[in-house]
Amino acid sequence: MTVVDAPEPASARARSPMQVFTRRVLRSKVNLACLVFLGLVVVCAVFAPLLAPFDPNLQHLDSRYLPPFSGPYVFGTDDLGRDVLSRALLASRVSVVAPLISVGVALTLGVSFGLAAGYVGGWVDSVLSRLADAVNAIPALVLALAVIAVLGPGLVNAMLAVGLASAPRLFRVVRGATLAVREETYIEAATVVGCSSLRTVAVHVLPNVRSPLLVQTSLLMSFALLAEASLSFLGLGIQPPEPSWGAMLRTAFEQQFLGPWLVVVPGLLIMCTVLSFNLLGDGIRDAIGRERGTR
Amino acid sequence: MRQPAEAVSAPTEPAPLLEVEDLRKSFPRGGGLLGRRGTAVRAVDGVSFTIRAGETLGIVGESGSGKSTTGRLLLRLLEPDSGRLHFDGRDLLAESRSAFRHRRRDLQMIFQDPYASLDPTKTIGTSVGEPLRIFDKLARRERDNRVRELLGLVGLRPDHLSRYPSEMSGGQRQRVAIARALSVAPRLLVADEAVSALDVSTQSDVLNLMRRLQRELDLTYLFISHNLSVVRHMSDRIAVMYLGRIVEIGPADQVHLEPRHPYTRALLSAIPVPDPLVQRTRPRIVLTGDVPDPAHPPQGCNFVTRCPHAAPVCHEVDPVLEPDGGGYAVACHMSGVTRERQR
Amino acid sequence: MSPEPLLRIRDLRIEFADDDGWQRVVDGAHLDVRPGGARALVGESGSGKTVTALAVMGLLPRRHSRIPTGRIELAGQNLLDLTERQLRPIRGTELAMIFQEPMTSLNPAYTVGEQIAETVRVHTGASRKDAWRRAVEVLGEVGIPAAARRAAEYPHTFSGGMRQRVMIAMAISCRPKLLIADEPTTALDVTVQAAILALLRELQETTSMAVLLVTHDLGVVADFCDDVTVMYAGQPVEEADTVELFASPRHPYTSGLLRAMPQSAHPGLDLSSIPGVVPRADRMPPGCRFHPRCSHAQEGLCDIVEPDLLPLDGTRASRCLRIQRGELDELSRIVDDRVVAARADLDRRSS
Repeated sequence: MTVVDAPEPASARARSPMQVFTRRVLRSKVNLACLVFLGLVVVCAVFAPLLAPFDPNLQHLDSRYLPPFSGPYVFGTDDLGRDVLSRALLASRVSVVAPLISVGVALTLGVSFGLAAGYVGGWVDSVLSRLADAVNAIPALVLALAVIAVLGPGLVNAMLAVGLASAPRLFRVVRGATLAVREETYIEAATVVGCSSLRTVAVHVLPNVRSPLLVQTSLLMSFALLAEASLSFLGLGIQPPEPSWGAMLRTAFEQQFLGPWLVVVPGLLIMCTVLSFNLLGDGIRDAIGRERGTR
Repeated sequence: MRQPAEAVSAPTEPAPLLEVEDLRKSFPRGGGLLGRRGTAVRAVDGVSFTIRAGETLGIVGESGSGKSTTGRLLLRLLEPDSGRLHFDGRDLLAESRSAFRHRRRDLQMIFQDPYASLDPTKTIGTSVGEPLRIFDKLARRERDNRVRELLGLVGLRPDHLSRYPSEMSGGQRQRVAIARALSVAPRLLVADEAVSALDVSTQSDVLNLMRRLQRELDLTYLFISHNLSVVRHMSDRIAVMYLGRIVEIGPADQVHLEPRHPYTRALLSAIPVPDPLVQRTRPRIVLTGDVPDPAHPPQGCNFVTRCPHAAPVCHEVDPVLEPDGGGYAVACHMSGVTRERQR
Repeated sequence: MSPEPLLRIRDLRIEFADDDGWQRVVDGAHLDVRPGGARALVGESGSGKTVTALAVMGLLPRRHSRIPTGRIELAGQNLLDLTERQLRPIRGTELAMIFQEPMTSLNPAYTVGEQIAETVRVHTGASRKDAWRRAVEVLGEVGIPAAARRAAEYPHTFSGGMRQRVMIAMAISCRPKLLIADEPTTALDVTVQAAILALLRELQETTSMAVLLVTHDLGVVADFCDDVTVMYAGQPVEEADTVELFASPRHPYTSGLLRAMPQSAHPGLDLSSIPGVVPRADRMPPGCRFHPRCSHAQEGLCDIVEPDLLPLDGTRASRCLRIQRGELDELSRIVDDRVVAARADLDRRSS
């Protein structure tokens, strides 16, 4: 058998499109910084009990309203004398898990219905799209408030509602990307080699819509985190004494004359985390743009 | 425009592998403003032909001729509106679309753009091995071994298995596409503009490979292309399509050297000869105007708007594909007249 | 070359940025176009032919490309010395370009006539009325029937061939001295291609406009061009008069291209091909860039010595070391049976 392309230089590094994409994303220092920060938040969330110097719910009634850097309390104490650092660490758990619930719900609904609408088309697409429009007309927070009104306050219910309300955003992105991918020849080729529709969608369509999906997921994480903070700030999310950044902000707001510094730590954490998700989303979008541009 | 099936196959042959009879497919043209219903474009308008086992039938035509649609109809990537499709004696259209999935072992296809016909997120091994996984339920290791064999068969190295399409050249990708099509040991291979996206030097490699595989594996080809030179090189017989119909079909040499339909003649004349002295002195037929909008074909003969020989009858009567008994057929009122004139 | 060339490209290098740094995609382009002449720039994908053409127009993407050395002279003036602002009036009035894809080159939101008139107004400062009149006039010149009526229609009502005619009308509306045509017929049907080439030839004769035709199709070259430059892997490898090039190619790559055309083989026999692939810009082989694919390559010479494009005899030039040393005489040329028959016919008539 003659091997025709003998003079071709051997390239040892087989790079999958995902690896190329990751390299592009990581090239930007901003993206890298965002990822490092978010990684730190996750580490704090996982190891909160080990990292926290005090029991986050332990009240030191003799040392209330201590400003930062007072003895062992690095970030000071709150109105009940609880260590702010320890509470902030533990609160990061809620702030990581709560958005994940929303994003999980939104991804499950948005991706499955989006793929179905985009790939099958026709009346399936019409029905699902109208349904998405209807859900999209309800603001996420209003839906969350309605759910809380019916089922009572509780973080999980509220975040499920936020996820449901955000699903149309992912639905639209996935549907649009699927419509484009469906026209690609490799989808036709998959049919020719005997792929069933289900297999075609799962194996060939889904991996090719993941880049835009990643952008939206990142942006959705920041939105869900803000939603959790807002609900907890209103006292409708996490219930005391469990801390979340939103709940801590609520305390700070109530005690703004006695402990004005209390606002700083949870405020900064919310801001930086939301900013990281947003910047990362933009960064991924730029990387996709470059991917397209250089092809 | 019905035509007897035996008309277009050579007379002395056994039953053909594929029989196509009066195949039709229309596409709705998108409605205009206010949701008005648009007109239907008759992409394939009564096409009949046969392919014998082991031969290559070339279909040549320009954009809008319906040649690619014909190929897709054979594989039921599109559902025909009407017509008959018989493969090896079985009626392909009798089966439901999902049952037809298993028939795809016998009928495979190679697409035009090798940059688009491979999933960019899959390695070559995964792409080529996919049919083996679906049809033969082979395990990973057996699959990889078989894929390595197939890659060798099409002139690629076994270690290309772990590559991604983005790391390969156009010619290499088209080899991968061929390997994938061959993995299920098909009997008929539909090649839709299989080399049109490739450079000349690579194109000849792929054409040679396809011819070698045809000999070694006893394949039957339907070779679709806009390039008459390539079609002639590959085919035993050639069908020329214009606006959804076959206007001329016959042995390759005859179609190429003594075309009888004025469209085929114009097509041949329009292909530049790669020699400046010859090209600039030979007589040429330059057609006026473009291909008419397929949604509004002219009355009478489809080609009448561009035909240099159009007579009054051509404006009124739609010519049928008339076989001459020797495996040749042409759809032109004037074919006898113009042949005389040519001599 | 007797008359002063209209376009003269010398030692042009073009680099593009990718993930791994700057890649040199054109390395030493060398090209002349005579006033009123038709020069072909031939090559396969990756040869750098389109990039060279874009560089002449000043249309390279500014952020991702750079030109480290070289001169692009139009009537003696180096275009690379000009700023974008100085270049703008030259584009359109002296230089014009048409592209492969006539579908995407027209703005769907304006009528065809408006788009041409706009070009005329920008470059000549004509009044709206005059510009419109000129638009209708050029549409007629490029063979669009009922030009006055069609000028008021939108691009989507035109077929592919008609859109390319519109593009040509727009390009010639200000009477450029040089038209750069980048694969102008590749997206068109072959019968339409013949008509477009006939139109370009006619325009060239009536307006004495020079044409630089960028193409991969040697048939189109044979049909249309007086002179040919063949490019491979970013470098010109052969330069010749069209008739001479087809009669006796003086570079193995040119000969390989000619022999690979399906017209060159007898039906039933294998086609000739060039083994291997064009090397990537960051992995150029040492010595002659074509030597890994060349059947005439000589070990110890072609894989070590980097050849230059050197003049051979009078009008021809080749980058092949062995041709330059006189070691290769007869490179096989094309053997189309139609060519053979027609050639015999020509000889018979002339004798």
